[in-house]
Amino acid sequence: MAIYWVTLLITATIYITIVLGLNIEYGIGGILNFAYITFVAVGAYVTAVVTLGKTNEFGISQTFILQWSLPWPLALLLAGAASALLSLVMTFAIMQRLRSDYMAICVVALGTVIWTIFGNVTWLFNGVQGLSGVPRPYSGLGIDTNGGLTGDLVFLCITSATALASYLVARRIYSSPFGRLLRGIREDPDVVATFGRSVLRGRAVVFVLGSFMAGVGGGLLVMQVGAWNPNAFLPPETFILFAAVIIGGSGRPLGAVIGAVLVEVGFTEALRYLPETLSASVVGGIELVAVGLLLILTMRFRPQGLFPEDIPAIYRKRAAPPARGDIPPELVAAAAGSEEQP
Amino acid sequence: MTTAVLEVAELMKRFGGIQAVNGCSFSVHEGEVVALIGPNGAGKSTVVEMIAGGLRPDSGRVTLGGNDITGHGRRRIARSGLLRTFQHARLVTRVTAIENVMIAEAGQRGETLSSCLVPRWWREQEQRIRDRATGQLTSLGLGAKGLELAGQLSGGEKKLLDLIRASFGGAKILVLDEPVSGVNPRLVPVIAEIVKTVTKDGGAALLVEHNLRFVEQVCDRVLVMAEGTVLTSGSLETIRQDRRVIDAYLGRRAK
Amino acid sequence: MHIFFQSAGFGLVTGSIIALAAVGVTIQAGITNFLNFAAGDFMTFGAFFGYLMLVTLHLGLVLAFIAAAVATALLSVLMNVFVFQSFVRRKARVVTMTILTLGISLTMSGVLEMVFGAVDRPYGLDPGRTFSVGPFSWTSEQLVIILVAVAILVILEAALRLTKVGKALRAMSDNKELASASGINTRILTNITWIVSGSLLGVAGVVLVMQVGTINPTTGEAYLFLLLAPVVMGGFGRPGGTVLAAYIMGLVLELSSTYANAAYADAFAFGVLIVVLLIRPNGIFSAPGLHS
Repeated sequence: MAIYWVTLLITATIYITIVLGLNIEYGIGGILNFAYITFVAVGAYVTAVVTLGKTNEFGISQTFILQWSLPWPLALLLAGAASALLSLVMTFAIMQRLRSDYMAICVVALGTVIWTIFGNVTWLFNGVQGLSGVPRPYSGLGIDTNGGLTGDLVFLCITSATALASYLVARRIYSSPFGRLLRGIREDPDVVATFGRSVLRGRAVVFVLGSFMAGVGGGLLVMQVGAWNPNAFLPPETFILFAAVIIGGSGRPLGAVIGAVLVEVGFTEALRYLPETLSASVVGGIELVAVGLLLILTMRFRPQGLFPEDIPAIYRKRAAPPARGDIPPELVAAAAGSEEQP
Repeated sequence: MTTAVLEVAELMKRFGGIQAVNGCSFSVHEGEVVALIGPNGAGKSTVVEMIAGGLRPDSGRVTLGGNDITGHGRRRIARSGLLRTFQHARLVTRVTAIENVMIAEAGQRGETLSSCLVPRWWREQEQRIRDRATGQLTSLGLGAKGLELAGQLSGGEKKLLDLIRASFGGAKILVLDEPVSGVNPRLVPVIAEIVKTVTKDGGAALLVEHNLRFVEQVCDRVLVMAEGTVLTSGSLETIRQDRRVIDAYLGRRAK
Repeated sequence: MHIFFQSAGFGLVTGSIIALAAVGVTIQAGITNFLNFAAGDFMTFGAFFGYLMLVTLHLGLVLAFIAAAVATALLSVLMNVFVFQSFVRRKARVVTMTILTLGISLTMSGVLEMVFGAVDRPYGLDPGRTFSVGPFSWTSEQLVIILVAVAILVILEAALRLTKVGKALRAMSDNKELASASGINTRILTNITWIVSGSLLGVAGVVLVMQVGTINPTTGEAYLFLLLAPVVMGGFGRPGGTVLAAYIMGLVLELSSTYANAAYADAFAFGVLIVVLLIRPNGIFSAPGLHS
């Protein structure tokens, strides 16, 4: 029983990291990365490729990967770095002048290309069958890492730490001058440029940071599941992640956390309570329909999400100074009662 | 003769078949407030956009504080010391009023990813900027609205905010696009005060305006544009009596 | 040389499929000003109706096309009336509308999965004899695809130019306020736009599965980029540019598949998109982006 809950928590914390990454890109930065899953997948693949050794956990020899067997922290870092690098390349190719949905297309295009590459570079990625047998951290150290409670708890510590770190970073950015700048870029980039800031730099930073988190999350995901294949790349996966960000409350890191737990974990768990007689396709379909409808309803009735952005709260914490008067009081009173001329 | 902050030489701009700006030249000096007036279609907005980086001139030169800024983008021009307002008060609507103002301050330490993660580095500066912004807002009666989302302010309040924001950033020259249009007449003297304050520190201001009473209160010099070029310049008194100006406004060809 | 023409021939087939879908989207985007990211699912939807006609009821290809067009058109207009309109009335931003299409895409693929199951179903069509038309050679199935596409595109262009509705649509696409001010009923026209775009996407779905052979709930999604990219390259509301871009992409896909590596055909198509957008950020046929 305990294993069930631990596994659930592991999934939740991994998705928290992933959704926080998207929140930084879209919620704070306003970037419509409709192929976010690609960056998660790149992280997953890189991790799989560098941690798989000559023989996988089941003792089967694998001839199609690098056989590096790197330790897990390095693998995760590489995963994040690979995704971050990819996004950096994309930024230089694309982000200069495009309106939001054009940019979305380009990212989707990139996603398709990467999907094809991963599906076809058999010598490295084993093509359509994907990779499997990816080891958990600390396997081989004598702890029973696969299936054992201790192993799961160890892994949970790692995923929780990552989720916590991601959350703290997101919070810091959100309430800092940088967050203010990013929000300005999100809402009206021309105005921000009019005050001498580089819109490109701001967007590039959030894109790369978000992708890094996606990559790390992807690495953790593949470690948990043990396998990955190209079919996990399709647009619906990203769309579900967007739903998580928006339903939870886009912008605010706490919203992303709640959205991740609700959409990725909550729905999947709720499906368990459906009658056994329903076939797998119906169950899978119900989840998609539920998320899709919830997204539409949220946009209609509560577009700010469950935990809306509360920017004034950031500033309310510090008291305002007393008024300084350069202007005569009558004019101040006049200004206080200002109205638009008909 | 004080130094020229902004020099515009022979600007030209064509749109399709129309020569919107046809050889426009003028300069604005330190401490001066200059108005750009003229009938509709004279090319005033086009000239402003070319100076402020929204449009690229077909030919001509724009110099700011001695540096050539012709054809530069908005961002570079802002960094060179030119800040502007918009005719329809372009504020970032979903962000608070005070943040709109605070964005105008250049050189904030907390604005890169690495530095924002260490609050210690930027907290003090942030507080200073915040206090100054709040002070500005309060002295203009917007103190209570500092934490409201800018989109929820009234039209007149938005124009005030736009102006506060532009004058916050310590610009060498402020370019103001119809600063009092659509604003409650009682606010006009307040706005005039703000504009004059800018010039106290050696800054300058260039305004496009139709409201001649306001121009009279605030401006040292007036430039009249018609048909894409500067007809004449001088004090409002002289301009008012210039035959060519009257003709231009009435639509007759200026000689 | 023979290989070139054969490959180019395939390119025209692929291009026809993409063109059909993309032209529907571009007309809709020109009027509503947002891209429909559920377009792939609309295609799948139409294709399933085609499946019903062809395989379940054995009623033949013509009915398959008609059923797909009607069903998808109906779906599109219902979507507009029950979902999009209430947002448009509140003057929602482009981003909001785009995200809405995400929700619709999820819902649709979910429903399709629930109803049809996550299995591959073959259309089971016989490609037929191979015909030679000049240097090209096509199977009769491929010829049908091309001819259907060309016929529909021609009829569409004629309708846009010659009929009252068509002219009204073009006026709306150019300048919505002006059109509405001159008495055009924008609401009805928007619904008509969705009907048109829906029917085109439905038919495109059928020809897609004719080409690909099998259908499953995710068939259309993999083609989302391929059918939206020509809209971006050609410009919103510009059927001419979009169709041209669509055929270019079809040719690039097939030619690169033959001469380079089949696996990287998508990469080449992506490259075309990037290059076009770098030179002309607003699409092939519009003016280069205004400075700043």
